[in-house]
Amino acid sequence: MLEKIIDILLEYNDLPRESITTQTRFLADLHMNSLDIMDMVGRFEEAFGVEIPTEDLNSIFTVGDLVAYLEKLV
Amino acid sequence: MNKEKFLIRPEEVESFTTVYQILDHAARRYPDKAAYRQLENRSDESSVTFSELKNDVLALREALLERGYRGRHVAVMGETSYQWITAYMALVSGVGVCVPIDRELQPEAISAQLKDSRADTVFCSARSLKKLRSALESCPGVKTFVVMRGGDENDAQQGFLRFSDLVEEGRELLGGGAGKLPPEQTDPDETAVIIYTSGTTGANKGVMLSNRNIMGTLRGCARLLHYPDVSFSVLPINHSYELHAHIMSCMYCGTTVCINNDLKYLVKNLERFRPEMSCMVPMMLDLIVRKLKKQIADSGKQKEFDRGVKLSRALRKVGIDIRRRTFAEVLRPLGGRLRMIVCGGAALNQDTADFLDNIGIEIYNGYGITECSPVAAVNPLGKARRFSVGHLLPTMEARISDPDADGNGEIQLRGDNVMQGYWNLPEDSERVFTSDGWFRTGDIGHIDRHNFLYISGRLKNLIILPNGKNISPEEIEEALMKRLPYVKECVVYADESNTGIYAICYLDEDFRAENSLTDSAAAKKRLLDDVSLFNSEMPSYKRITDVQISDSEFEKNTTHKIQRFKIAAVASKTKV
Repeated sequence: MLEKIIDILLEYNDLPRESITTQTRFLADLHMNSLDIMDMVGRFEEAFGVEIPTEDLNSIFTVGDLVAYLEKLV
Repeated sequence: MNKEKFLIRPEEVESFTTVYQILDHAARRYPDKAAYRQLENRSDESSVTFSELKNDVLALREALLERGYRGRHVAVMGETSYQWITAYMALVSGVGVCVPIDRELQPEAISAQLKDSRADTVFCSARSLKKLRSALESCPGVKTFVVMRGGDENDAQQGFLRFSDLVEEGRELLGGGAGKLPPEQTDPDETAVIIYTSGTTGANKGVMLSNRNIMGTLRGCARLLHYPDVSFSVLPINHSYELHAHIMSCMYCGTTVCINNDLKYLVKNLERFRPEMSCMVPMMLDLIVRKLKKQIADSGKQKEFDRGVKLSRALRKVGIDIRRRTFAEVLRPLGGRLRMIVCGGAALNQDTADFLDNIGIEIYNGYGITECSPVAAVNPLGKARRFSVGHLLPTMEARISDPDADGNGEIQLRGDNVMQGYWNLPEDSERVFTSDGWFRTGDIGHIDRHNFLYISGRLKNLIILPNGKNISPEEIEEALMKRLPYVKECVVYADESNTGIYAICYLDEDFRAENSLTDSAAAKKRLLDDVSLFNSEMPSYKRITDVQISDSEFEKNTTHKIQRFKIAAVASKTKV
């Protein structure tokens, strides 16, 4: 799952793949703004066939948080 | 597409003073054309024609009048939908006062606006009910709820009314007749809407607009822009910019508005609905451009793209436009037909505008303020000027108060689209108008001899030093970010006595990591060193006394504007 998530994250920046880990933060490390994050969530929904309510984003700060969240959902 | 078919004949609509008149006009002229298309779930969509829209508006207003809603204040809260638009049009067509509420607000802010507006009924979407419930704990005045869409059979058990039932009730009441108070009798000067300002410079205020005010903007936009066959709605509908300058204005031309159901699906829905136009804020254009650039780079066709841009630019100079054909593949993920975007709400990055222009999407920058319903200027079709926020609407007058040597001064406006005043705030209302009746926008700028407007700052943010010197914080912020590109966001403010100027900055995280500045103290030292050099290039009264580092991006409102007054207030309290 992490690999698939990183594939999508790389659509939003030019960072080297190895620099993205479970500790990577969306705002501080990936420099994503609020709209990027919304767009990214749409991509995750498509990729994993799930629905992610916007309010759930309030507790997702790192790639690790997202992996844990999606693992529960999928 | 036959452009002439959708051109507006100004004389046809010039006399309109109520929203109902354009609805009636659209229903007569484009009866069977889709007015709105919206997604009901992830794949199914519904649509309604202009004549169905008119019938539903008339039915809903009849039901509301029968239930005693004449003159009452009714809030509408939820995602953009056909039901939201129908509720708004029914309310403003001689029923009561519509109070659009931003569904993204925190419950406390929703509660404050419901109480302040004295709304006793809320039209709400099922998606917003949870948030509304928390807001209502301190709003005993709100007695009635109408579930607009997404409701179920439990609604009635909970005492909620259903939108569709009200429309049905109104149809039966009308029975094919004209009803008890024909919409043609709507008073254009009665308050029809109270819209709360988004509060980038202070506390929220309820802006009172009449039908005449709204139509001032609509008529003005109709003279400068022509809306094509299909448009795409992505901005929050509670904002006057989306509601009036886009959704209502589209009715003039019989433009079908396709409704984006969630920001998560913005790009996907562009591909689905294949619009020719949209109204957006700069952040959305930045996202689209970044995605397109990445797609070009990933496809290995960067050089081909660059050559195409050079060639099409050269040909445009001799009047040949090959952009749409040359970049058809680049435009495909946006549906392939998008050719104009009206942009407002914040300053637009010229590189973003140039990229889109290069591939055949024209950007029409505009300027507005909720108090002007909201449009004051927009770049006209085919005559857009770089760096200008547009041509003043022909329906209004403008003047520059007390201009400086460069002609810049406060922009003051007068005309049909200027609000009636702030709800329940007579002193604020009085202050915002000059003694001879002009509205003080609080923005600084100048107007050229062709009536194009240029903005240089906001008077409301002006720092007036004890020596009488005026400082525009935006000017210092812009200069600092230009001089120090690693400063990504910056808010400049003064201390309480206006004796010192301070800056709080959010720095580029890569820059911090690469320069061993992840520690805040180290980052602050580096910034201070650079600010010292910056200060040496600035006049003494524009020098920054001290800086603070923000570890995260600044809080923004729902139109993605930095909430500078909040940031400055917090920063001044934590200043060492």
